[in-house]
Parts: sequence; structure tokens; C-alpha cells
Amino acid sequence: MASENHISQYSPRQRELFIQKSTRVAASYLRRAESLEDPPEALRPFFDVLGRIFVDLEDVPKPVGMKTVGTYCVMVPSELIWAAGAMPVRLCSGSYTAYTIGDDLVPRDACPLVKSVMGWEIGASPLYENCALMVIPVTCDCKKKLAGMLEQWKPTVTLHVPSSKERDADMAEYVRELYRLIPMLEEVTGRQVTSQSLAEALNQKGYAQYEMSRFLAYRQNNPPLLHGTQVMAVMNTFAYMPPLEWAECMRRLNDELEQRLERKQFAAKSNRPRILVTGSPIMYPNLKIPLLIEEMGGMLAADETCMGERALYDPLTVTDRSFDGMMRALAGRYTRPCTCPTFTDNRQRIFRIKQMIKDHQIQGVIYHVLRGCLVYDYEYPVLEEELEKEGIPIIRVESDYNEEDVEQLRIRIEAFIELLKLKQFSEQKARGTA
Amino acid sequence: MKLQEKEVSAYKTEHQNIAERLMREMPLFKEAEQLLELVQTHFSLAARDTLHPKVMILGSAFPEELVYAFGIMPYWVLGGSLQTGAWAGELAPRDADPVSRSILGFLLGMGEMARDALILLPIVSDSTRKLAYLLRREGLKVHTLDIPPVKDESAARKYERQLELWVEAISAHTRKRFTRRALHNAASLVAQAHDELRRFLRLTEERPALLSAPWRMLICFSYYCAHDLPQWTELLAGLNDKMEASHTRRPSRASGNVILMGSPIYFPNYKIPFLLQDVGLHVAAHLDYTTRRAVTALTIEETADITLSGLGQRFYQADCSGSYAKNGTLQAAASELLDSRDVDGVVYCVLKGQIEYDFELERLEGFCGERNIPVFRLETDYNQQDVEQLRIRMEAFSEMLRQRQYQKGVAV
Repeated sequence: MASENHISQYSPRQRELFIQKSTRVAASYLRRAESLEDPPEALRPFFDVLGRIFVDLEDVPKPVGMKTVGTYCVMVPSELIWAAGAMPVRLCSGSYTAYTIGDDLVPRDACPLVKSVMGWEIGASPLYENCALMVIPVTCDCKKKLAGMLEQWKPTVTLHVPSSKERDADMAEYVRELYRLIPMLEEVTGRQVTSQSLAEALNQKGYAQYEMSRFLAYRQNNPPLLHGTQVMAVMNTFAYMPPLEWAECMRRLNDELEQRLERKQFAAKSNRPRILVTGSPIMYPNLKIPLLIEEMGGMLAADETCMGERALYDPLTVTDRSFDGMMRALAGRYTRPCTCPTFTDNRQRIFRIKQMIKDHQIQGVIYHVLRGCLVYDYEYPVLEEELEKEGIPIIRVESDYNEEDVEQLRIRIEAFIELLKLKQFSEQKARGTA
Repeated sequence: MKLQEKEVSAYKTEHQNIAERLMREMPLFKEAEQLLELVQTHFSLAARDTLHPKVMILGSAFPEELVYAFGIMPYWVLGGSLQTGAWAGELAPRDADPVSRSILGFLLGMGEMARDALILLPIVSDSTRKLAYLLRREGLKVHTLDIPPVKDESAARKYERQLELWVEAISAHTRKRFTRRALHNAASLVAQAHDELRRFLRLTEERPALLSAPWRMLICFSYYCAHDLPQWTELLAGLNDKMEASHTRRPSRASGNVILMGSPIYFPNYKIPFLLQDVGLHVAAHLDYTTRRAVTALTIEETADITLSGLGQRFYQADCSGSYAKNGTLQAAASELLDSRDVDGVVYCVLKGQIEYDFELERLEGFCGERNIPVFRLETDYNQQDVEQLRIRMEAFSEMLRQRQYQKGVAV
């Protein structure tokens, strides 16, 4: 990511220490996710990808000679980037070590995700270094300012996401934004975005979403077939793999889950409180919340985050196969079902969470707020009020990119799980099934 | 929302205290006092029952000519009150900036006033996004304006289209047509007011002894409290005439001439200007996007052939708020001020939660450094708890500026 000038600010010793520390943390979280009891064999390729990028610090697995385009949000249509002949990679970072570097580069109250992104300017990861272009959707104040900062080092495009999605005029604006992006992508790759290349990219993503929908059906199983932390790791890898390859790995995982279901081989017992995590993004290796939930006896049964189900749950529907029709379908797909709080009116998120609670038989909700992530914080009281009506307990946990708050979080999450267990017990008692 | 007696009394006291502090300085002109009264009337709780504005504007990032063009006086809510911030309660998160918190609380507490109004809300930050949501939940009619985060040609077109949507919304709400003639008349009305405001700013810079910085800020702010713009313009013109006629000698150069920049400072949150005054720093100029508007607004001559597009472009291109990915306009405005004024330092105020201003600071420090001008960043909110801390820091800054002057060989 960084220009030579910026890299030269850091001594070789600093970079060496950075690499040692960041890879050690990434490896440790990967090991913890892998070691959750009885992981399916088909998870291996997903873990390998994470290990390759964050532990071995190698570039993403991609076709030879293909350029990568970095994105900073799920609202960037990856299909457009594929159609232009480049590979999209998600650059939102969850690295604690990069966060410590970024802490000196951006204001104190900036969110840890942005600090962590800026920390990679140390020049240690080919994921950032090799990007030919960065696309930054303006979804919050920090991302907006990040765009201004990143343009000093890499060619960047700012994508203006409308603040509301109900009006046709807003949709039309987003379609224009996507059209504006095309020539910039074409310039990077030297390839034109054609109807054919776009349709092909749409189909590939469609296949990935089909496997995702199968996977979501297995995920709803109670007792669970897979640990939620492992699911989050799998979801993270979509940002670093070609869709067909990811879908193929997913197909194998789905097949294995099917067999496990037949054999009644479950990842945990059904008496574990089923928890949904929603809120600020959970980027690998920052898996401390999912791990804490599962290590403390809970089951992370679903997540409503942009690095989890939100990115893939809703498939694209193209009714008009013309180029413009596909562009409109893309604009619609990346905004209308999106429950990101960047939108002014986000009642849809409440409906979505309520639906997920029903589908996944959720007993409690953990609302994760990264320090400084104001848009999520604003939505908490409203969600709390709505879930109170449904009798679903919810807690807000605020965290940062370091391990200093782990014990505090552990105590709170443990207490929450105890509360859910007590509630579960009293409900069973009332039904006479305790 | 029903306000408690205690809340009402705290709100009244907050405004009263600032007004009394201003009056202690005894301005030389009765027009200044009248403008203070106008501000007090605007914020009076009686307004809740007596005023029923058709259009309310939250923040100042919107060309008000578009509202005047419908023959309507907009009611501005800029959010400077600590007490209305408390009315928002837990609806606004802990880290929300005090301006948004104050706006939210005001609209909840004064809900009756906003019941039939169309609330225009430019989306300038994360808080404004969510404010729209919360206000709609309260049953208020909110129309938002997306401000493109970069300033290029395509963004400029987009801004124009957004304005067209606003015009449609105001037109639908007021059931009045928008015409070019009405726009021209409205632009002239606003331009007259801004011409006087520019004259006022020039006079206060030329004759700083006539009015203190807090008074100057109050009079600029009173523009947003005017319920009859021609009358306000007349009042300011009267003040300007008297200031022009007064024979006050230019005082010797102050030892600490500073430019106050960063987050906007709205009445009654005058903690910072009062502190600057207390420690002997002279505010040579004040730069935030609300104050800058007075400088960059259209002049009477420019309104002759005004169009919606022209008006929008003028406003958008001159907007120097922090709500852009990288705002060259803010840097240009700061450079212009630093080069044209005899300035010793910059006081950069960041309201807690307004992170966009913190991001801008690095660049500002860069070009101030090139000019050998020190920048003092202070972070605050609307509470009074940090006043003494800020005072100590400001005194140290003031002392440092004095030392630098001695070193330069300029006798104080």
C-alpha cells in the first residue's frame, strides 16, 4: 500500500518486529478457531487461505498476472471488478499490530478498523502492497477521511453510497456511481467491461450464493453442525478467493455437513444458549468476540455483520439482461437488502434481525460496537427497545483492537450466557421439560 | 416529550448566563443589544407554542435562498446548547458530538414546534445520518440531502440534482411553485443580509476595540435567529453605520492574534471565545463553515442572473466543512486568512465526536508549520467541567506566543 517514502519511515527492525507480532497474533487466532472441537475436514482450505495471507503474509491466491483491486466495504460490487478482469480483495483490517502503527497516523478517536488499515502502510503485506486501485465507499465519517488519506499512496476511487435507498432518485445516483467506476477499473486492467464479462461475473457470484444458501440452511440446525467462529472465518475468506473456487470449497463443506447431519455428528450439544452477534464488522484476526462466546459455553448461531452473512445472504436478481439492466440490478443488490447503518432509515435491519432470531432459534443477542463506530452505536437503543418487546435479551459490548479488554469482555459475556441459561432453565421448567 | 421543570429551568439559565456575561461588557451600540434580544427570543421556550415554522433547517450546510424562494422564513436549529443535549437522553450514544445531540434534544423537547414542519437535514456526518432516522421515528417529516464527499464535476452535478429534490420536497410541503423570479428575489434578500454581514466583519477587524470576539460571534450567529430577514438586515446596517461613524482609535497590536478554527461554535456555547478573551488572546478571525458562509455568499450584483444550478454550485464549491474526503476549500480558506492577517497562532477547536475536524488537523498543521505559525488544538464539549483545564492550556499558549514575539523583537 505504501509508497517507498512511507515505508522508509520504518526501520528494518521495526518492520521485522511488526511482521513477527502480527503473524503471531494471526496464527494464534487461527489455531484457536481450528481447535474448536471436531472441525469438519472441508474447513481446511478456508483456514489455509487465511493462514497464507495473514500468517505467511503472501498475496491472495489468484490467476497469474491478474491485478487486485482493494475494497473497503461490502457495498462495492465485486462482480464489476471481476468483469474488468481484476480480483477484488477486501482490505478492511482486523490486525491488532497494524492498529498500533495506525494509532499514530490517524486521530485518537478514529475507529480501530481504520487505524488498522493505515497501519499496513508499514509495507509488510502484499495484500495491500499489490493493489492496483482502492475503492472506498463512503459509508461513515472515518471511511470518508480514510479515502482522503489513502490517495496519497495509491490510486483510489471514492464511491458515494446514498444515505437513503427508498427513493428511486437515490438508486439512480448509485447506478451513476457504478458507471463512473467502470472506466477507472478498465484503466487499471486494460480490459473492457462488456455485457458478457459482467454476465459471467454475475453467474459466478450467483453460484457462490447458491452454495451459501445451502450453508445457511445447515447453519440453522440445532444442535449446531459447525461453530460460529469457524463460520465467521469461512465468511471472511470470501473476500480473498475467486468466487468459483470459494463456492467449490463451500460445496465440499456443505456435502460434509450433510453427512454429519445424517450421522448426527454435531459440533456441540443443543443446550448451549444460541447467540446472534450483530454490529460492527468482525474482521479476521479480530475473532475475540466469537471465540469468547464459544469458549464460555455459548453457541454463536448466527451473525448479522458485514463480514458475515450480510455480504452474501441475498442473491442478485436480474430481470433485464441488458448491460444497463445488470448495472441496475447490481446497484439494487448492493444497497436495498443491505442492513448497514450507513442508511438513514434502517428499520430493515430490525426486521432482518428479528427474522434471523426466528430462523436460527436465537436466545440472546450480543451487540458489538467497535470504539468510535458511531453509526452502529446510534442503532443500539432502538434495537434494544424492539427486542425487549420480543423478550430477547441483548447486551452491548464495546471493544477495541487489542487484547487488553479480553478479560473484561469474558466476564460480561460469561454473565450474559449464564443469564440465558437461567432463562432457558426456567422456560423448560415452566414447560415441565427441565 | 414532556420537559421537567428542572430541565426547563436549566435551559433558561444556560441562555441567561451567556446573555448576562455578554451584557457585562456593555456594548456601545443599542443595535447589538437588540440583536442579542433577537437571539434570546429565538431560543425562548415560548417559541414552542407561538412559532410554527413551515420549514426547519438543521445545521447550516444548505443554501437558504431555496427556502426564502417559497416566501418562507426558515427556522434554523444549529445545536449549541448543553441542556437540549441532555434532553436527547440515551437516544444519542455517548460518543455522539454535542452539536447533533443538542439538535436532537431540541427537536424532541420542542416537538410541538416541529410537528407541522418540513425538516431539512443535510447529511454531513454519521450523526446526521442517524438523526434523520431518530427524528422520523418520532413522527417528524425529515428530508435529507446527500452531500457528495468529493468535489469534482460529477459530484457537482449530483449536488445539483439533490437540490432539485429538495426544491420538489419544499414545493410539495408548502404547495407553492418554485419560480426563477422567486429565486432571484430570495437571493437578493439573502445577499443584502450577507453584504451587511461582510461589512460588519470588515469593520470589526478594522476596529477591534468596538466589539469583543464573543459579541462579534453572537452578531454573526443572530443571522440564523432572524425571523424577519429584512428587519435583521436593517438592524445590522444601523449597527454598521454607527461603527463606521465611531472614532475609536485602532489599539496597539495585540500580543496574541489568533485565528479560531475547527468545529463550529454556536450560541450559547461560548466557552471558548470567553476563555480566549480571558487569557488575553485576540481572535483576529474566525473560520468555520458557518462563518465562512458570510464571506462566500453571493453579492447583490451576482444575484442578477441567478439559477438554481448557479446557486448550488456557489454554495457547494465554497463549503469548507470537514464533511469531505479531502477538502481543498478549507485549506484554501485557511491559507487566505493566514496570509492576509497578521496572525501569531491558530486555535483549533475540536468538539468531541466531530472526528472529521481531527482528520483535517494534520494538513493544517503542515501548512501552518511552513509559515512558522503554531497551532493549538483543544478538544472540548458543551460541559463546563474542562474550563479550568482549558484555561491553563490557553494561558500557556498565550505565554508561548508572547515569548515568540519577544524573540522576534516585537515589543509587546
